[in-house]
Amino acid sequence: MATLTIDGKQVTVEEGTTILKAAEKLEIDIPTFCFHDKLEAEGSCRMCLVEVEKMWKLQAACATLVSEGMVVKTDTPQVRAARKGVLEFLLINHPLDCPVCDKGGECELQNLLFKYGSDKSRYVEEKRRFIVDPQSKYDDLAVGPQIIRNMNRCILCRKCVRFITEIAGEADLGTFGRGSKSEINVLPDIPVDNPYSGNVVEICPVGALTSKSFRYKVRVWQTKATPSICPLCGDGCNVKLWTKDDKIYRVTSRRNDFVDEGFLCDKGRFGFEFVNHPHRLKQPLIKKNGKFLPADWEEAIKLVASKFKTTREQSGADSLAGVGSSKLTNEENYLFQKFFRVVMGTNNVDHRVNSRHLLPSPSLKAKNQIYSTTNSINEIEKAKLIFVLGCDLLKEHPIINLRVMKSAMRGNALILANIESTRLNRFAQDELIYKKGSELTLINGVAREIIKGKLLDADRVRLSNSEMEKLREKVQPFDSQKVSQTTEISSDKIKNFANTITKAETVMILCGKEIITHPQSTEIIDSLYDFLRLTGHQDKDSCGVNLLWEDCNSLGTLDCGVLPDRLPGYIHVSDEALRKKVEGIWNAKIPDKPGLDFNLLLEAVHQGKIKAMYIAGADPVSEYPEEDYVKDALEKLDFLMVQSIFLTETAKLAHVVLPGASFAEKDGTFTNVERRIQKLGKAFDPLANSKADWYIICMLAQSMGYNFDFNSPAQIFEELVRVSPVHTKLSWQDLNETGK
Amino acid sequence: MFDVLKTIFWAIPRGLSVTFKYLLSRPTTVRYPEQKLTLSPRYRGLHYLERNEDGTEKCVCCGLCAAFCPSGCIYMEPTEDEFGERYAKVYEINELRCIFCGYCQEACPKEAIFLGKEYEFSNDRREKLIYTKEDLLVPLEKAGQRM
Ligand code: SF4
Ligand code: SF4
Ligand code: SF4
Ligand code: SF4
Repeated sequence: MATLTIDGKQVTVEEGTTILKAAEKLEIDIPTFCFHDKLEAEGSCRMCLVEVEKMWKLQAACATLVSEGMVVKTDTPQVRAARKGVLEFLLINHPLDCPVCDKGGECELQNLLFKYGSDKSRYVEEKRRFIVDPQSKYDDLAVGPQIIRNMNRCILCRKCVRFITEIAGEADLGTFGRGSKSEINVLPDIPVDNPYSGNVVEICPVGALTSKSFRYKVRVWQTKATPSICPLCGDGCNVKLWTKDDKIYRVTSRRNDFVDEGFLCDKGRFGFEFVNHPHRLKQPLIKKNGKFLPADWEEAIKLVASKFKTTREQSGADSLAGVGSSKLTNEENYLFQKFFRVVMGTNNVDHRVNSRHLLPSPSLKAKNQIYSTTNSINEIEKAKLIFVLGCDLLKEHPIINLRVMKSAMRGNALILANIESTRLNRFAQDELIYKKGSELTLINGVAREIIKGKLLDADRVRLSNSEMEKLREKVQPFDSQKVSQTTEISSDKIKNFANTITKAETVMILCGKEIITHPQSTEIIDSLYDFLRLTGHQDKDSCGVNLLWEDCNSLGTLDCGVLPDRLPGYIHVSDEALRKKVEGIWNAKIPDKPGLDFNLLLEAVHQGKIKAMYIAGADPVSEYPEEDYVKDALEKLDFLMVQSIFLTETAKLAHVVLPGASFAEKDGTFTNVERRIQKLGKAFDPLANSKADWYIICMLAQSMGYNFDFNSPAQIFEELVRVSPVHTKLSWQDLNETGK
Repeated sequence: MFDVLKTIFWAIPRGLSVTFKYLLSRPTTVRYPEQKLTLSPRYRGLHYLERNEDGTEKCVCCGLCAAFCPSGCIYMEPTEDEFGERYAKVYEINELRCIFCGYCQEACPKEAIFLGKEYEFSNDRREKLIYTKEDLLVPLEKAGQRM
């Protein structure tokens, strides 16, 4: 610890902190250009110069470490003159481009100049230009599919290049040339098209790098920034939606160090177009004679309610079924299952439409073990060995991929096991490509290798003798020859892997979609746990098996009880005591017999047992592995109602389609892979004549004679907290900023 | 009593003298529209958008005029041409709401917008008083010469 004085205020910080960081703690603002929290300090822009007593020159605050008794002054005539000088130098070659520059209004050069610079220029010579096309006045160059460079505006802070190499682990952007001819550029024919490229636009302090999708569309001061959550994968990056008049113009990061550390993937950054897509549903549709005709809300809701009512009267409550979606918010999913259990009177609700193989619903006790991540996202960096099994991290979880890369770049081991080679293999110590479906053999084979090869350190084994015996028996048949035949991995590689994993200090296992949708998923997960206990990696920090769910709210949908046999918080429907408690809160009876899961539902439809279905947000026709099977089933229904934002393949089969709202048009929460519940923000009202999904459910309930008395998602959430044991102790207010 | 006398013999003739003075002097009314006043050089009338000498539009659609405009009557949408140069796809001024303060002219970094001397642009249709870019741009043959 060192105590120093900055501008007359004392602060105690850890040894090895920079002056800049110490000043930040005192909320003293030191201007910078080239500094970025997550990048190595470079100290090249000289904007952060400060006066340090007993040092004869000004020091760069971002690179100077504190020492005991240091006296720093950040606002002396000398410092001010230095800042002014630095800014004047930067402006020598900076064009007067602000009117056309996209960064105008949020440009750090503009801002700092306004604050510290001079309003007159002494430079009369011609300015330097990096001419791209002699025909054009402007020197814009597309360096990637999304990125446009204007070198004249660059101040050579090199943050973009450092981001690409240090964080994205690529080399597609570099500095060429020297001195005033230095240039940020790409190699011929190698564009900046890595999956994190959009971040450089946000990082660049000036308008040297701009994005094609936002460029020249709107000025930043005309837009409004709404804090929200990215809906495109389970990582749940925090974003800001920049909107003007009901249109999203861009998405930028809202730094949350628990999740994204201030970066986004390009999918999340540029993939917002669906919100304002012209094909969005604009009003309720009712099918008459095979054709959809627009209808008003009252008519549509009345029709749906009467259809559901008559079906229930004629064929019983269990002839109705509901399908929720892992892309709807927690509140909507909670309300959806409540609607079915209370209003319709059946447990036939599910949301798992994308696989034939469903993990069994987790029990209340094991909820953290099987169904989620054991470790937090932040722990990833700490694990000494990361083992990725059946997951293309880059595609499924781009931001977790970044963390894994960071960990590997810092020297932690990374081993991948996938059915195909993935781009992450540049960082992997070893990559095992196994034959699809042979995961279980692989794990058991490695376990046998560990036991047989006597690699074990007896102190570390966390299995009791009987468990050990059981495991021994289980893995007995998996001799190395057989394993390498089934998995198509050489036995040397497997031996090596067994060796590394037993020796490692801490092991974290990340499993992806391949495992979640695997026919033997439960066995695989059990084996992985045995495996960790065998090697002594159980119950330690940053050790554990982590199942990474794919959609933005996969975990939340499970937690909220959109399952045929579980109420919110994984209360089993036949669990008398807990069910009674929920019944008390809902003031209604809940059927105690588990309903049908989606596969059984389809079967039941084919057998004519299910007559009417309500699908909210999901698109089983496109997502289910067997398209025709679902299509046939849905066509057989007497009545199908779909709530969606587009006329999806599923919606086309519906009798009534109700237009829901996208994530940008409603409040609510998503639960990300590490079970962090984070708030969306409503940027504008639902477009055209669409309505928020939770509101539609309330309207339906109302029309069927039940009063769902909710005015906002906040109220729904407060009820969820009372009902669900998973959500206890949370409150809507607590979820601001970083989520919980 | 004194008050009444004072009114009759002093105040009324004094007031009427002003009336008669104007009755006999030349009228100041201008017979508009046959006759027109000369405008002050600082007169602020209908806007126009300036062109460069080569005929291209000066306005780059930076949005500063709209940001300054106290009555919020300027609307624009930027876009880019084949060279990637920025220009206004849509540029509209609602002259009904404009208060002719001239702030837009003052804000413009490109010297593209000016308030001219034109003041005769009444119309019987409100929507016609929302001037589009085409209405505002000076004719091509006058490109480059300040009006
Ligand atoms: S392009 Fe931007 S981020 Fe990159 S060096 Fe230039 S100013 Fe810095
Ligand atoms: S990593 Fe996922 S949550 Fe983050 S921006 Fe990309 S798609 Fe969105
Ligand atoms: S003259 Fe004033 S009110 Fe009229 S458009 Fe310009 S800034 Fe707006
Ligand atoms: S008229 Fe001037 S201030 Fe207004 S958008 Fe055009 S360039 Fe900018």
